[in-house]
Amino acid sequence: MIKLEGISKKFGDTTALENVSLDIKRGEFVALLGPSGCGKSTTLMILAGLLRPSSGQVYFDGKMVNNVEPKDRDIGMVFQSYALYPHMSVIDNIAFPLKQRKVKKKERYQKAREIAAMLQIDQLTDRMPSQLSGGQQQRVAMARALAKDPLFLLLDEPMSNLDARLKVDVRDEIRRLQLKLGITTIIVTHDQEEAMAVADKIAILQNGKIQQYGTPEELFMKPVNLFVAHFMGNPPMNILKCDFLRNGNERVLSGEGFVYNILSTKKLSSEFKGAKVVLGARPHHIQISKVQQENSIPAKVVLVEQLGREKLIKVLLGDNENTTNFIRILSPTDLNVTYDERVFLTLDSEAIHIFDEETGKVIT
Amino acid sequence: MNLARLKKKSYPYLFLAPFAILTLMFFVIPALATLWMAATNLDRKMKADFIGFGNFQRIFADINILPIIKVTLIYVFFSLVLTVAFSLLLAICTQYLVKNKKLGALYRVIWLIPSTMPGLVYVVFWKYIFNPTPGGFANKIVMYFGLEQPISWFNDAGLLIIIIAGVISGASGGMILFSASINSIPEDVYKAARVDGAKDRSIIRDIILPALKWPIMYVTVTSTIGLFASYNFILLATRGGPVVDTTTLALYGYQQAFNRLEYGYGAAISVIVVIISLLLTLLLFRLFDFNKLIRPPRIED
Repeated sequence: MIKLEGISKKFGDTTALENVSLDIKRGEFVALLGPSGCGKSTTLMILAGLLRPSSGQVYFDGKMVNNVEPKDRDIGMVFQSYALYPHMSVIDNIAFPLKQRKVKKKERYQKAREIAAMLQIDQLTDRMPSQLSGGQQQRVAMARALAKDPLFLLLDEPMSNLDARLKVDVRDEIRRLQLKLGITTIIVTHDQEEAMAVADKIAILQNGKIQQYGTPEELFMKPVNLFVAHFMGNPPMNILKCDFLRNGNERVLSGEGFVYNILSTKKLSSEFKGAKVVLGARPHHIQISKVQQENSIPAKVVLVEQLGREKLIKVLLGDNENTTNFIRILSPTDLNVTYDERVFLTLDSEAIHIFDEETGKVIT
Repeated sequence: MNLARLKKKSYPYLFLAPFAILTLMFFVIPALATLWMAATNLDRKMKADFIGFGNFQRIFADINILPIIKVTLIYVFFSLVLTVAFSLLLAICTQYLVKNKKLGALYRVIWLIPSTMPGLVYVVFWKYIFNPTPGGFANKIVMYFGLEQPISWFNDAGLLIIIIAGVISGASGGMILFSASINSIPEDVYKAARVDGAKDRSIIRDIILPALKWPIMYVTVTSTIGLFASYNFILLATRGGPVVDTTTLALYGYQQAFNRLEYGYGAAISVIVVIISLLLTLLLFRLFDFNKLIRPPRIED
């Protein structure tokens, strides 16, 4: 079990991490997700012991490990660049951690060959790293990280140097291996799809703070703030600034080019007293209709993209030509709309998210 | 049309021509002239008669030649080993072990100073330190500690001083090359090694030294050639004396040609110097497995 407690890290005047706390259970696969510079790699380096936190504690199985050297932390690590030892053959790379543990020569090569076979690189063991493709290097790096049967596996953007197709294979492979070995794994990534695909839980970071920590479903369905809502999902959630109007029992959202009546069953946070909000609606939660319905929003089609399984439609909100508020909608391919066509949008009122514009926090 | 193509094709040769001519005049022709001279008895009378291998026969009969070859081998071997070892030590210390990059760089700059000094100034500095009179720096120290008579350093340990002085000024070149190579090892590789449990000793042995194989070979080969051919420092420091105790083959060739004006004989000696350093270079290539270094990578999916 891993526990981070109030971890902060400063580099000179810049704060990379601020009061980060995290609980990771044995056997869990956790993704640290966020845009570049959010502090996810710094968190991983602190877990590895390659960086010391400025304040806060790191616990491995209940023991404080702040001052424990990386080599004594029982971790395996895969780097973004793979960091293979260029002057050693594949088998020597894999056996290197065992050699450092003074495992006998015969034993360590046998173990290295077993790991190589598990990762299907046993036919490459005599090659030098420069004679391998990117995908093969990635496997060697995985094999080296797993060679000493570590308690924790740390993966630092392990797939960002692979092409899109290979990435899907490799992430499946990593997940399969993780489940098979039951090894507690932490992956750093900026790709939300990758995180959703492999992880049991995702910690999403921005500006050195954990924004939300939960299962992929939680993060996707119940984002706690605007950042999480926008970061999760592709194409991203539509974000519309609007005024919040209370009229007796009626609650109305009014923005540029649209007016939307929130159904009375929808509960809002009682703490919210403001008037400025942000409406968030995922592209697949919006229906397009050619006829006007109650509470529907008029719009004009400006772009139709055929994605194969579905269509991505971009529309401009409002009746007149002067609005600039546009949103993206995913709809079934059988829907026939064309450029410049007038349409009406209905929002699934259970699936919409409303955020306080000032704080970005969700109020639905 | 054809003329235009000819013009275009001739451009590279035109650009190369000045340097080709200079190389021919100042390198190829003198080298051939030396070979020719080595086969003549050209001397102070400036009359050259072809004597074939006469000079070479004379070299093998020269009573000085054995001690000189011995001095040369000792000088080259110890200078080489110490220069490479010392520059490795400096590079690893300043680039890897000292974690403060600025401090390491400052230290390297200090070590560069001797090699930026003009040779003559550098010799004067060493001659002052090991001056045989009681006023010499080293003698002041040993006499302060109770020695009665000043030591004639260059007479007693001339070769040792020459080797040390050469190593100190020669180490900085290798140091710069080695530390640049160490610097080019990606940071992630060190991190991976730390996670894998490698200590400094293992990082130096398994990661840094293999990365330095090519630069070490380069420094070793160029130093070997340079050391065999160099005589300036020795000439200025001891003139090869006492007797031939610090005379290397290259210096002997110089003295034969320019002090005794036996041009033919001097040229023959320098031909021997070239042959020896050529053979040693080939041996070093073999030793460093040069073919393996230039083998192309095999990349496939």
